[in-house]
Amino acid sequence: METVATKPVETQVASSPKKIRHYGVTARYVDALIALAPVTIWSYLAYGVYAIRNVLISVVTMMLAEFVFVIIKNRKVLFAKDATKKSLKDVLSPLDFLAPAISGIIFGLMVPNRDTNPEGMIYFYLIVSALFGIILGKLVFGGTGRNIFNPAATAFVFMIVCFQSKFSGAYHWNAWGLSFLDSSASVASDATALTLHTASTYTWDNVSALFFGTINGAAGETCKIAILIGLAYLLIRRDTDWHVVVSFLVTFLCMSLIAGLFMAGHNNAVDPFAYTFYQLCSGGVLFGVTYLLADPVTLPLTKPSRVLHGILVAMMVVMIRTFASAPEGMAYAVMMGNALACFIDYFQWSSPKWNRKWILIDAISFVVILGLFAWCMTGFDYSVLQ
Amino acid sequence: MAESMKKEQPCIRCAECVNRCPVGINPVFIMNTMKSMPVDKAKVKALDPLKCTDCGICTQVCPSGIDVATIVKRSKVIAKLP
Ligand code: SF4
Ligand code: SF4
Repeated sequence: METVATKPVETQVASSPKKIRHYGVTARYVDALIALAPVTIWSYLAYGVYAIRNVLISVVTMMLAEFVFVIIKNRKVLFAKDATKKSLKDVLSPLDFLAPAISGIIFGLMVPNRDTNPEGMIYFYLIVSALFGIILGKLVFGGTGRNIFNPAATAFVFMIVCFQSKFSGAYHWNAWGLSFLDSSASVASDATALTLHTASTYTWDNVSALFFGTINGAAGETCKIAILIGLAYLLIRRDTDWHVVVSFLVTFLCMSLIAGLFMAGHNNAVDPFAYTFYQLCSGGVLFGVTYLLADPVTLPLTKPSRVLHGILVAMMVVMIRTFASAPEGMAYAVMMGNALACFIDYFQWSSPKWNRKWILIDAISFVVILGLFAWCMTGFDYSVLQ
Repeated sequence: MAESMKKEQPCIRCAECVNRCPVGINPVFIMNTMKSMPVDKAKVKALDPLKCTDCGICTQVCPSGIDVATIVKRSKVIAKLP
């Protein structure tokens, strides 16, 4: 920027229009890696080498798959005999390593750190799920930026559906014997805790244990403080859209509060607010919001559609958690939301700016979903609360 | 423009171009329609690229270094076809 002095006033000459972003897409992916750092460090503290093993295996698998994909995609220029031939260095970009690395870390952190049955098969489960996730979630659609499903969520759903029963036995919890971790943890933030709707579970003690991560669970999902640091970093750097995060959290909290109020009406032992925050802090809700849902590639494009997307995904999470037999709803809901995204964003009705139509659509869907959920709660089986 | 001379990265659907466009059209939709083969003329017309003022903001803000404004400009030719 240079300053040009003119006679009457001093004018500044700058390039026009003014540059708004100073960092590109590679920096965004590096940001996502930085946001994953606190969670990864926490998993290393809590689970030792077992968490790092899961992360490393899935990262290496996904990176290799992406590498092979890049070679196949560019085979014409790579193996050309004439002047059009390019070297591998020209076709590879940093994104080809960063994107699968991020998906691999997210997937590795969601895997339960348990013994498997039979022993040692965890390598096989991890590799197969990671391959499924990256190939069917991303590569068949054409690679980074073209995928409609989140690869980490796809891999996790595949693993839950196929191999959930194979994970049994003890967690590798507190591998270093740290004093601030509760090694006799009774509440697991893992799947098992969510299927138990007993009234005595929903206490503020359990909520604080879930929040500070001093209890057992899937490696990345235990410590909510580390996840919130990552979320704050992503939001401050504007790498994710706050619209979807806020609309998801507001809808999720409202629906959980409704469920809590209904449960308190049938059983005085339930504190509705403790129930709400227990739902927020248990399982992978915060982890899923930060690292799965807020991934811009699989979101709709416009602001009003993103708000609607957050509302719909929150509805699916609460519905699955409350009524379905499946324990953990976040990954399923994110995948279903991804499938809906292009429908929400259909060019005939999506609008880049807020107009009256979209304010009405978002407000009406919010109210209708809350009302429908309250109606569903009247049919809930409250006898499980005892 | 050093930014746009760099190698183009894939669009990550960050919606920076959609949020910044001063006339409220959807540059990334237009780009995706133009990149699909054959180009859907009715869809290009419905996306209304003729509103574009060629301000170039969408190219400036794109983190992937895609020249979105030029593609929108090309789509105007198709939108003008009968
Ligand atoms: S060049 Fe056209 S499409 Fe791009 S921001 Fe400006 S008005 Fe919108
Ligand atoms: S700014 Fe670039 S990367 Fe972002 S949505 Fe628009 S074209 Fe895609």
